[in-house]
Amino acid sequence: MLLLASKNLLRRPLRTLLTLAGLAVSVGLLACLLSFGEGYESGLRTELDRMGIQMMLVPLGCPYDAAARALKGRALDVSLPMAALEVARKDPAVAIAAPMYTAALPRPEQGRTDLWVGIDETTRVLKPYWKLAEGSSWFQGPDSVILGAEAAATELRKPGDRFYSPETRRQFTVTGVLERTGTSDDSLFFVPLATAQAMFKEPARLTAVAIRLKDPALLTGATDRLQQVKGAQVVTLTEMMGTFLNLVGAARTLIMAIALVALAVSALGIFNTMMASVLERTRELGVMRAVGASRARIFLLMAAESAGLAVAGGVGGFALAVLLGRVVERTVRPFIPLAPEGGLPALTATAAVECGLLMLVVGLAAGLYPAWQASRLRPAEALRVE
Amino acid sequence: MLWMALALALVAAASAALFFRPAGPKIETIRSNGGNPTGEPPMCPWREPAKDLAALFPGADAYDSEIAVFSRKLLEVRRRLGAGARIESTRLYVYPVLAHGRRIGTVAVRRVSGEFGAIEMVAGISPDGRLVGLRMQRLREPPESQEFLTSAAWLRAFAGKTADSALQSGGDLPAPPTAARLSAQAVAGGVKALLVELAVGPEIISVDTGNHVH
Repeated sequence: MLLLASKNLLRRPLRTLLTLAGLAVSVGLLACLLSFGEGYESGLRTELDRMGIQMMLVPLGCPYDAAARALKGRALDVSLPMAALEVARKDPAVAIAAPMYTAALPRPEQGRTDLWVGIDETTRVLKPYWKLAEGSSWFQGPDSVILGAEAAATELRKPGDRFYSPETRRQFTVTGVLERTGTSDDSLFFVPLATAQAMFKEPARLTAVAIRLKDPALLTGATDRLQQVKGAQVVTLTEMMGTFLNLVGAARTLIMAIALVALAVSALGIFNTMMASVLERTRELGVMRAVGASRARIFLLMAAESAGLAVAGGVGGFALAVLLGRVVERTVRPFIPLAPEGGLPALTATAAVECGLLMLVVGLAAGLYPAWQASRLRPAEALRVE
Repeated sequence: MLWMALALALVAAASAALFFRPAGPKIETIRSNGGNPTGEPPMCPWREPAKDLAALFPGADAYDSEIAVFSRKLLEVRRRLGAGARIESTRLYVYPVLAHGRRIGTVAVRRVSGEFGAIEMVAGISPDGRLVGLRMQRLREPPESQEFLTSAAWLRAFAGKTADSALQSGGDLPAPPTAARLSAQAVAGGVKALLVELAVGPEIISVDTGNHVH
């Protein structure tokens, strides 16, 4: 029967090809988008896990914007009291509370912005992927600066060199250069926390506290307690991830709606192709019925043809997803806030299975009516057709 | 029928191979954020072409971008610069300057290591290899050093210099104050190196034309 079904499809190769092309495009688009969403979630989870923190204390205001800026090494407009750090460190659930003070110094006449970040030893524990380049060491006094890899390359600095901040009129000695991390840390200037606070004249203020818990299961209790800290608010990274995913989800819902419309149109294509096939082969089907083929066999034959179209279209769609996945990702990525570093997968197993099943169901559903029509043909009437 | 089935099978096999390929050994990698695989220092961009051209080549209406290499002339460059000279890269990014389609000079940008940070400078060079002017693009120096390095007197002193000029602070260039000594030496050394590298006749390996000055 499958052989007969495939022979029938190939009687009109151009029509079959066009139907398959439509199917492939909609399946490919759907597969890319499903994979993109999964990849984004997975990448974001990996990045957040890599950070080794479960929550952040940020100044009052929009929590997600503040947390995102703090994570990406961008300056914030407001600050936290130093007392927030002390409260966090005393909390029984907290393993490490790492303070940071981030400030931006725009230099419009030179078309640049210097980003300075004040940190202490606890940040080093939270960033195990930080590696100091050869000859480097940690801070050795208040006038030490550690440069990110990109910052050091641009400023042509190595350990032992001097470094100057014209806006704050402060001289530093480069004690260390970080090896490239592939994160925003590469372009930052790191100084001791007290130095940053003094440079920007905010001696008892912070821009964020990054917190690692002793056990992630203690998150809820820790959140409730730390939410009481005056002037601060808690952002858990699961919340932040949820927010980002909601943003992605909203965009994805819209695009999925478009992809599903495309899928519906493809289903209509299958329907159209199958109906045309039934009409063209009325006489032939009549002959089949006349020589003893049952209604069920005719129905199954037509259903097999429509399933064949769906499967072939699905396979073509997967191939397109693999080949064009990167193009789709590059198109969608600029619209996604703070997308994880690195590429997102073109086609995941889950997306492939979901799309495959959907395609099969759509194909069979679209072929149901034509198959039913074909099975209802009366041999005598069918044979009278010219 | 057979060819269609074969085509479909091929597509399916290719997709499956791409999709289900083995993971390979787990290798810890550090993702580079656009790093420089050759190990050369990052390119120094030319940040304000219109402004610099107005100062160095007032009649210019367009410029090209070229990448030139002097790898084959490295020995000559080293000889002319002296044994102690550090050559970070054998690549030059130069910008031929045009007026009504005719080349009237070249702009080159160079980044040198000053005492307190990188110093980026823009040099205008005439077709006969003479410096027509020097402008500071970026620097992070203390006030006294900044004032000297950006002073008209200092920058004017570079005009007319060639690859054969000494370009020594306190010699054919004004003596800098103590605070600016190291950075001034770096600037002079960088200009000398640039002029020599251009004078040896580097090979052009890439050209981008049609940049208009607005």
